[in-house]
Formats: sequence, C-alpha cells, structure tokens
Amino acid sequence: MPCRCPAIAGVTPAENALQRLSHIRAARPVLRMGIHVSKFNTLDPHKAASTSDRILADMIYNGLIRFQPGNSRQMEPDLAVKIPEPVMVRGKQTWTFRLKKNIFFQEYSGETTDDLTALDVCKSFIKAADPQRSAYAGGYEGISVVVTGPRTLRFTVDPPQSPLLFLPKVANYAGGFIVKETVDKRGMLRLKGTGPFYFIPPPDDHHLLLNAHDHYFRGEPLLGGVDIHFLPDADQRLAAIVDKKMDVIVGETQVRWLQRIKDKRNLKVDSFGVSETSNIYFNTSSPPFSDIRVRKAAAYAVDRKQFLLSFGPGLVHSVFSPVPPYMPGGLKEEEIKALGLDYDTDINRAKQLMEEAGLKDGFKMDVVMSEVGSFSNNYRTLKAQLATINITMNLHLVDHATMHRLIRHDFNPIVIYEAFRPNTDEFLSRFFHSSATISSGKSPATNFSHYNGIDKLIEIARQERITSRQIKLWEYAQIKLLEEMVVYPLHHKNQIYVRKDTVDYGHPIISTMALYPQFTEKTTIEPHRNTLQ
Amino acid sequence: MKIHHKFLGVTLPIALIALLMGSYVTFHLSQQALHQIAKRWLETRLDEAIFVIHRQETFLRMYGITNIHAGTHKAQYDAKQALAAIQIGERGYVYILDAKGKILFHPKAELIGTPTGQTPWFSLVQKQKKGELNYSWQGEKHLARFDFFEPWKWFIVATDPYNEIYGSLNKTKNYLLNMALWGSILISFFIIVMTRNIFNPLQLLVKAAEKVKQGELDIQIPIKSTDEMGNLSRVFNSMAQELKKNLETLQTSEQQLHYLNSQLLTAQEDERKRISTELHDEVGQSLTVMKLKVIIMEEGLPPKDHATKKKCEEMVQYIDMTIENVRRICRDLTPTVITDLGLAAALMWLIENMEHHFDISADIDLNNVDEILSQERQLLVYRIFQEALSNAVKHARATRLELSATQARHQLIFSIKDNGKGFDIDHVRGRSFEERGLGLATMKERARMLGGNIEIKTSPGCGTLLQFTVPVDKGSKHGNL
Repeated sequence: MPCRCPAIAGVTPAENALQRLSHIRAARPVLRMGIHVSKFNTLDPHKAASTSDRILADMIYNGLIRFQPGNSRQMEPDLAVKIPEPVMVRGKQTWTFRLKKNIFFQEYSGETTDDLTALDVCKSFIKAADPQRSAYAGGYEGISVVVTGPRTLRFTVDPPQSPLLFLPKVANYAGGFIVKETVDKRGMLRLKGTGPFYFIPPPDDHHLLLNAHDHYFRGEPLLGGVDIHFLPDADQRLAAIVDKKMDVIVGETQVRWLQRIKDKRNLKVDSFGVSETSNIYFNTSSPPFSDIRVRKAAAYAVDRKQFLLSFGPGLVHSVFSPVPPYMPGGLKEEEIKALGLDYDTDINRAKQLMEEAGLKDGFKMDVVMSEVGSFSNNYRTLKAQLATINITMNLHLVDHATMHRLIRHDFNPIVIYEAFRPNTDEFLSRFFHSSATISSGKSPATNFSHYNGIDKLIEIARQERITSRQIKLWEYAQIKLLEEMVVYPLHHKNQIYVRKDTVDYGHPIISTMALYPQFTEKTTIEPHRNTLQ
Repeated sequence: MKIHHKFLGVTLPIALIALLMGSYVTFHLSQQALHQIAKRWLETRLDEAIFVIHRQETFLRMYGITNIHAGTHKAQYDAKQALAAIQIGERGYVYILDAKGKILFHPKAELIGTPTGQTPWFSLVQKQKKGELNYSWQGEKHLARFDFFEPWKWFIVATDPYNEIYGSLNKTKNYLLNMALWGSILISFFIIVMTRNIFNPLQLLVKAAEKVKQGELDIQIPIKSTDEMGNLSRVFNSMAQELKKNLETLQTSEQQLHYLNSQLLTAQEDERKRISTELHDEVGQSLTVMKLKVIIMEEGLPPKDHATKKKCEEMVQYIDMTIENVRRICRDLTPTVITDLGLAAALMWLIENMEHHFDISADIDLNNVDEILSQERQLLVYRIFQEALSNAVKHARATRLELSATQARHQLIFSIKDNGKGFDIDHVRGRSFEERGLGLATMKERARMLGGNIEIKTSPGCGTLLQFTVPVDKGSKHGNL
C-alpha cells in the first residue's frame, strides 16, 4: 500500500523547522540521533516494519497498554486505566478497556486541541485490522471491537486467546498503536498520535525532526525534540558522535567498530534486548527452491558459525529454530541436534542433493541486500558459502527501505531477515502462515517462503488455551519447517546503541520492543547542552 | 549390697534388653515398611513415567501431526526430558530400554547405548513386561518396577538402590543403638534416683531400728511423705515411744525384782546365819552340855553297870554325831570357813566334802581370789559354786570337775566345767517357771548381785561349762559389791 502521508515527501529545509522549534523550545535540549538508514519508509505505525519505522512509531504513538520503557518483559496500562481480565460473555471472550482522562492528540499549528475518545481507539483498531491499511491485519482476525461509552470499549475475541497472545495486540506495538487519521489544510492525510513527540513536516534528505508534545498526558517532555539524522554508514555515525554532532547513534554489531569506542570516555555503549533473530527464508513456491532437495543442499552448505565471525565473538549467538530459544516454543541447540535437524555443514551431502535435484552445476540468482551492515554482512557470507555448491548470488546493495519493499515483491529467492516479534504466534503467523504470504496473502506480511504447511498448527496453537500444549504445537510447527527446510535459523543479536554520557534515557534498559533505547517524556540531556539558540 | 543396688542390678539389664529388643523390632518393622513404601513409590513414579510418555505419544495423534517425520523423535525426546525430571529420592531414576535391552535413556548420558540384553534380569523384564525386579546394577542391589510401552516398544524401569531405600533406616540404626544406650543410662539414673527416694526412708528406719536395738528409744524418724513409707515411719516412731515406755516400766520392775531378789538372798543368808548361829550356839551348846552330863552320868555309874555305861557311851557317840551334824548343817548354812580361811579354802572344803559323798574328782585352780573379793562377794561366789556343783553331781551325774578363776582386766572369770550328761539349755529355758526350778535363776541373780553375768554352755552328752564374771575395781583390794 503506497504511503499517503505527505510528511516524508516534503522538502522544506530542516533549518526552517529548527528555527521555528527554537522559538518554542529555547530552554529545552533537542536530542540528536544518528540512525543507520538513509530514510524512513512510513510514519504509519500499522505499516511500520523496519527498525527505523518502528522507532518513529514508538515516539509518536501510544497503545492501550504498553511494554514498560526499557523493560519489554513488563506490561502496564498506557492509555487504558488498567489491564483488564478477560470475561466470557455468551461463550465469547471479551476484554473491556476504560481510557484515562485528559489524553490529547498532538496539536499541529492552526488546529484545535483534540482529546482521545473511545471512538478514536475503535477506529484505530478497525484500521489495524484492515489489510488494505495495515500490515498487521492478520493478527486481528477473530477480534471485533465496539464502543460502549465515551471512554470505554470492548473487544470480543472468538475463539478466545490467552493474555499472552491478546495483550500484545493492544499494546504499543504494530497494530496496537492508536493512530488518528485527519486531513490537514491542504487536504492531505495526516496521522496523529498521543505520544511525547510528533512529526513536524517536512524533513529533508539528511534528517527528520520531532517536536515535543507539550500536552502529553504523562507530562511535558524534558526534551524539546528529537532530531533524527540519516547516517547509514557506521563510521560516519561514529565520527558524528565523537565530534559531538550527535547525542545517540545506532551502533554496529561488530567487534572492531565497537573497539574504536572503547577509549572514548564520554561515550557509553548500551547492549539490550529485544534480540532480533536472523533467518534465511527460501521461496518454496518457485524453482529452484521449490525443490526440497535444493533447500536442504543450501542448508548443508551453510555454516552458521561463519556468520558469527563477521560480527565478532560474543555479540551474536547462533539459533537452531526459527523462533529463538528465549521465546516460548523456541527450540534449543541440543534438542534440534537430537532430532537431526541442525543441518550440520556437510558440503558433500549438499553437492549430492544438488546432483539429485539435477543442479549439479548449480544456478545463479539476483538478490538485493540492505545497506545496513548486519544485513550486508550476512548476505555476503551466505554468498560465499553457497558458492561451494555452485549457487551464485548476484548481490545488489540498496537502501534499507528499498530492500524491505523489494523483498516483499518476491525479488529475492532467498531472504535474510532480521526481526523480532512479541510472541511466538506473531512470529510464526507473520513468517509462515499462508495469509501472511508476501504479495499474495490475505494479509501480506513477511511469509517470504510462500509456505502454507503449518497453517493448521499455527491456528490450533492460537486457540489452544493450555500453555504447555500451545508451546508444544509451536515446537512441532518449527520441526516441520526445519524438516522441510523452509527456513534456516542463523543467529540472534541484541540492539547496540552508543550515547554520550550526558544522555539520560529516563529508565534503565533491559529490553525494548521498539528496537531502540526509547525516548520518553523523562529522557533528557544535561542542562545547557545542545539547546537550540 | 544395698537394696537399691540390687534393684538396679535387676532392672537395668531388663531395661537395656527391652530397649535393645524395642530397637530391633522397630528397625525390622521399619525396614519392612520402607520396602513397601519404596515399592509403592517406584510404582507411582513408574506410572508417572508411563503417563508422561503416553501423553507425548497421544499428543501427536490428538493434533494429527503424525505426518511430521521428526515428530515422533521430538515426542520421544520430550518424553526422555520429562523422565529425566522424575526424581526418585536422591539416587533413584527412571530409564528406558528398547525391546532388545539397549539403554535408550538414562540419567547418566554415558550409559545410553549400553546393552543389557544378556543380563539375567532383562530376560525377566522381557518375559513379564510388567512387574517388580530385584537386581544388581554396577555392583549395587536395586529394587525396580517396570512396564512396557507398546507404541514405542519401550521398557520403562523405575529403580532405586537399596542403599537409599534403607538409607534413612541405616542412619536410624545408629540412632536407635545410641538411644538404647542413652536410654539405659537415663533409666539407670532414674532408677538410682527412684530407689534412693524409696529406700532412703527405709535406710533411716534400719538405722533407727539399730539404734532402738542399742537402746536408743528416743529416736524419731522424720516423716516426709504420706505414702506407705510415711505410715511406716509414723508407726515406727509410735512403736519406739511405746517400747520406751514399756522398757522403762520393765526396767523399773526388774530393778524392783532384783532388789527383792537381792533382799531375799540377803535375808536368806542372814536367816541361814541366824539359824546356823542358833544351831551352833543353842543346839550345839545344849548338845555339848548334854554330852557332858551323859559323860558325868556315865562316870557316875557303877563300874559294873556295863549296860548303862554302854548306853551312855552310845548316847555320847550319838550326841557327838548329832553335834557333828549340827556343825555340818551350820557349815552348810553359813560356810564360816570363808571367813576363817577364804573362798578358795571354802571351795576346797566343799569339793572334798562332795568327794566324800559322791564319786567325783576335781581340779581346782583358784589362786588369789581371796585377796580380790570381799567376804560378802566371796559368799555369793561360793553359793554359785555350791549350786553349780550340786547340779553337776546330782543332775548331771558328773565324775569330773574343773574349777578355775582367772583375772582379766577388771574382772574375775569363774568357770565350772563338768563331764556330766549335759542338757538342752533351750529346752530348759522353754520350761515353765515352776518346772524350771530356782537353781539357774538364783545363780544368775547372784552373778548380777556381783555385778557380772553368767553364761552356760552345754548340750546333751557333752558336759556343761558354766562361767560367770565378777567385776573388780582397779586398785581396790576387795572391789565393790
């Protein structure tokens, strides 16, 4: 779905925006962040797929409940007064939410203050469940919502879901973000949130500015705004923060790069969850990977240890199942090895399989890869390993957003994707349910494999109320994925960020679903630094 | 040995034996109970293991995922993981054998793959498929329950070494022994304390009785309880008081009796003396006068009146004989020889006199007696001798007598020993007062008057030894009477 938000298309010089902001926020610091992509894809949280898009969504929007900033293991009420308990009404599971009072949407110039109502929340969830307007619509199947009062609304979930599955759907993640669609003076669609920062159009090619939302319901942000700079080159980002042109940058998961920060006394490195898992997804609908022998040949040619070398020791950890072992249903190395599904590197066997598939001489394929270092490293390593069985990958480097767009149009027969999903159902549904098949699915998401072999298992697991059985079903689903070599699990890695020691995020960081340290109303920089003059 | 020591000697071994037997019975019963518990426990664990395996196998069919080839392996893997979590004590465990006895799962990973098909116990497992097993594994005896899981052809064995089954009991064994030992010590201590508490009043009673025996009748036992011992003490105290009263009464009576006896004997001696004097002075003088008159009358008779002269001579002879008899009676009544010659001589005379009338002989050793005793005491001694010799001759028909007097410290010891027929002294003492006669009683009374006592040793056919003592004051020539 094309982006109808005019914000990113705007070309107004950033200096003008900064000047306007400076008049308003003369006393408060603006945090400068160097990000690893060259542009954003969308400001619509329901379509945010890349890390950068998720970062923006986190700052602009709220959910009914939220993962605690810096600690995604804990949930707490956000827009809602409290986290409700499910109630069975006429055989159907219902969840009733009551909204807090005095929550205001971000206020743009010339517009009146607009407070949040249950109707706004309801409309947002209708949008999230609409495959035409949301990338996460598949997650809301069987869920309906009605307004029951000015600040109350009720979800009906049929078949019932466990809190583990349902609550993330109404949290500050993916379709759970509450967004209000309005039209500006020029008749253009504008998306508004209730978060601590909001977007001031237009950005330029170098950076994007977010303004503090003074009527933020948790309190006026300590920061005047967040200035996000596009710096895809890791060395440039490092130079920028060393030169005090940045306050926070996205780090590079690479030992040599990190070594360069070691001696910088005013810089701090934060490594935290959630961990993103990298898997190799084979397109099982088209030759040559429609042949299981070819997929297995590729799997036997891959050595996941070699992938770790490009990152350096200790930063990245191998995984042996698509869902990482720290999540429910994730399988451990010893278990996968005991079942003989680890596909330990065996070139001879790989060649034999290729020969059996009639591809003794191999084949060639074109593949796009992201400018983001971890992606490009992985693709280059894979290229080298597949070359041993005569599979030639022609790599094409593109910006991160372009890569996301192209791989969703089946450009790559093999996709290496880094992702985190809040729960196993979300993970399996988004990557392996037929409804999430890219370009052809009912709610296209990230089923790059065009696979439908575990649809039933995903569905019955989703409906299973006994957690232990649910987990076991997820495990069997993954065993089937591995048995049919739909996906080859590579590794998972933590988020790496570098900040100046004057930056205080306002919370400790253990893990964040937003894939960045999270800037909230409490985030600040030491006084008299980087204030706009 | 004191009573409480005896009591301790009896009760302590019994207590010790009872405790040891109790410990043994407890040990034995506990062992049986533990065996039953272990069997039950293993059965429960085995059921749990079977349930776990069955649940995994059922899961595949329940969700229709048997088409996943690695699914069965996954289910089996999960089953093994679940079995590893089943704990049987600290050393017990569940393991899996395939149909040929190869170990498919064991908590010790190094044992997985070990064949057991050739072991004798596996044949039993294979044959019975379900049951109980006693077997040795790696040199240690084990108890096991086993079952067969048909879908996967698995033998599931839940086992525990006997060392652990009885482990707690083995630890208890020493505890029981210690308990028996310490129990015995405690019981001993308890018994000692108890017996002391019980027998202390008794010992007080014994000591009091001994004092009563020694004549201390003023004794009063403290009464500390109201139980039987308290009652006994109370009765004892009453008895001692009563005894004291009776004794005092008796002593008074005795004193009176002795006084009367002594007065009687004194009176008797006085009377004898008076009679003797009267006989001597009146009858003797009269007879002498009579004799002189007869002689004068004879001399006045015509010489030829031989018949009358003869009758006068016969009368004189008769009067002499009578005078002699009177003199003898006088001597008998009052042995004036004592006064004249002393006790030894008097006794000598008495013996000689008896030798004239009876067929006896006597040895006499009575030296220095006269110097020690006064004449009154010598008379008493003489009377005792007189009675004793009379008894020896008349009743014992003795033919041999030995009389002696020896001085030891502050007393004289007189003894008369005969070779007569002797008598049963207890029999004599058992006679009534009238049957018994006054001989012995008089001798005792005289000995008492002398301040001494008399002792008779005799038995039938063995003669008689009579000894009596007479105290003598040191430095006094005649002692006291």
